[in-house]
Amino acid sequence: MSMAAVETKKITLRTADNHEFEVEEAIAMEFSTIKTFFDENPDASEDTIPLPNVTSKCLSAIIEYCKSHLAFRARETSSSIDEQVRTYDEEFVKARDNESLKELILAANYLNIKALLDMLNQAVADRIKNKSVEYVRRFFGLENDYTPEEEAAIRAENEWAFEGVDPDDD
Amino acid sequence: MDNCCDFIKLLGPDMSMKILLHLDNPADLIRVCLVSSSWRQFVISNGLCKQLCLKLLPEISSVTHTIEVNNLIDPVKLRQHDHLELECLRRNHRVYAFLARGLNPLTRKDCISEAISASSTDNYPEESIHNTLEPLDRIEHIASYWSSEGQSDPAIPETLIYKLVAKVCLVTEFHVQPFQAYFQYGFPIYSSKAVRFRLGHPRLPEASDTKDGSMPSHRLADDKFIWTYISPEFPMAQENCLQKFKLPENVLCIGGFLQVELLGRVQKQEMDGLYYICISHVQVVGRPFLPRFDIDILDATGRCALKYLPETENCMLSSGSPNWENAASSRFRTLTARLIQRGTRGWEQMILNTLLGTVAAGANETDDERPT
Repeated sequence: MSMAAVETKKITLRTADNHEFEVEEAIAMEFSTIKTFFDENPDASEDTIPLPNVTSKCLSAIIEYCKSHLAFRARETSSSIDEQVRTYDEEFVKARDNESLKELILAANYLNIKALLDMLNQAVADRIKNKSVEYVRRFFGLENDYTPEEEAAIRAENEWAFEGVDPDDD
Repeated sequence: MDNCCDFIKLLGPDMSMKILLHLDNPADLIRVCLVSSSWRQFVISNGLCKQLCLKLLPEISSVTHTIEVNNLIDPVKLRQHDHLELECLRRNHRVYAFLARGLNPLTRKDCISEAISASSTDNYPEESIHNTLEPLDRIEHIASYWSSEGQSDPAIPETLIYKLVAKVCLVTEFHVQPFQAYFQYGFPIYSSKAVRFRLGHPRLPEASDTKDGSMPSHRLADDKFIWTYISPEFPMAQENCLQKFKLPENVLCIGGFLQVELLGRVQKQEMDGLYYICISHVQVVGRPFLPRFDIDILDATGRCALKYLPETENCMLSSGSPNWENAASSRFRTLTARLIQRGTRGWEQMILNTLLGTVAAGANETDDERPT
C-alpha cells in the first residue's frame, strides 16, 4: 500500500450509468466491499473501481451520507452530536420516495455499509408500519398470489390485525 | 422503470428479515403475511412471530421451551403428508402471533381475581382468606386479615390458593404482608418463617369452576391442582409491611392459579399459647394475557391445550377492558359480601373480644353502620 499518508488520496468509482466519481480514500473505505477489495489488492488503488450495481444518483447520495457521518465522528461524542446525527438521518430518509429507498438499500447492501443499511432498513420498516396489505404489496412491487378464499380465510383468522390501518395515500 | 421483483428474493432472506424484524407491532407482521403466500412462508419458516414476541417481551425466552416443546400446546390436526417440522413452524407461528397480540404492555399489581381456599382458617368468615385481597389491614375499624388455626407445633405450614385474572399470565413478583394484631398486647406480627409460591392449573376441568358468591370451601384444595412451577423459598421478615418477593426469572403461569405456602410459624398468641400465621394482603405482579386465551385441561395428567377465543375479542373492543372490570367487580362483590357478613357479626365479635380481654379497635362504631 502506498506510504503516502496524504489525506487527499482519491479513488475513482464508476457507476452503472458510466459516471465517474472521485472520492477521498477515507470515504471509500466506509464501503466495506471496497475496503476488502483494497486489502486484498493493495496495488489496485490507481484503478477505477466499477460498480455495476449502483446508479450515480444512489452513489452520490451514499457519498454524501458517508461524508457527513465521517465528519460527525471526527468530532467529540456528545448527546448534541447524537441529536444532530439523528436529525441528519431523518432528513436523509424523509425526502426520498419509496423507489429510491429501495435502490439505496440495494446499493448499501452491495457496498456493504452497515450503518447506512441498518438505518435504511428501519426507515423501510417505518414506512410499512400500519399500512394496508395493498400498500405493502405496491411498495414492494408484488403480486397477490392468494386465491380469494385463501385470503379471506387468513383475514378472518386475524381480524384484529386488519383494523385501524392508515388509509392509503399513494 | 419496471417494478422490483420480489423484494425478499432480491435482497435475500437475511436482509429481508432485518427489515421485517424492525416491525414491532404484531399486526404489521400479520399483514405482511397476507402480501403473498411466499412472504407468509418466509415469515413462518423464519419464526418471525416468535422473534417479535421475544423482542416485545424478553422474559418469554425462558418459557419458549414450555410453549413449544412440553406438549402444553396441543398439536393441530396433523395432515398426513405434511412435514412434521413445517407443521411445527406453522403451529408456532399461530401461537406466537396470538401471544404477541395478547401481550399486555403494562405490568399490573392486581393479578389476583379471587381467593379460593386456605388450608385452615380460624374464625371463619371474619378471618377468611378473602380479607387478603384487601390491601388495608382494617376497614371501617374492622380488622381485615386471614388467620390460620392455632398449632402448638411451629413447623406446621399453611397454604393459600388464589385464582388469577387471566388463565395465562406472566408472573414476575409476589407481595405478601403479614398481619400485625394491633388489638393485642405487644402488637404481635403473625408472619411465617418463609414463603414459597406455586403456579399451576386445575387438575380436571370441573375443578376450575369456583362456586360463585357462596361460601367457598376453606379446606385444603391442594390436590385439585397441578403445580407446574415451584418458586424457591423466600425468608419472610417479621415486619408489618408489604414484603416483595421477586422471582429469579419470570414465569409463565398457564392455568391461572397460585398457591402461597407459608412455612414455619414464629408468633405465639399469648391468649392460648398456640402458633398462628396471619396474612393481611397478597399481591401478584405480572402481565396477564388478555382474556381471549383459555386453557383446556385435556386429561388428568394436566396436559392442556392453549386456546384462542376470537369471540371474546369483540367484547374486548366494544367495552374497553372487561377483564379488569370483571376482576375488580368480582373483588368488590366479595368485599361487599364480607363486609355485610361482618356488619352483622361485628357487634357480637366486639362483645366477645371484650369478654376475652382483647381490645377491639374502633370501639366507637355505630349500630347502624352499614357498609356500602
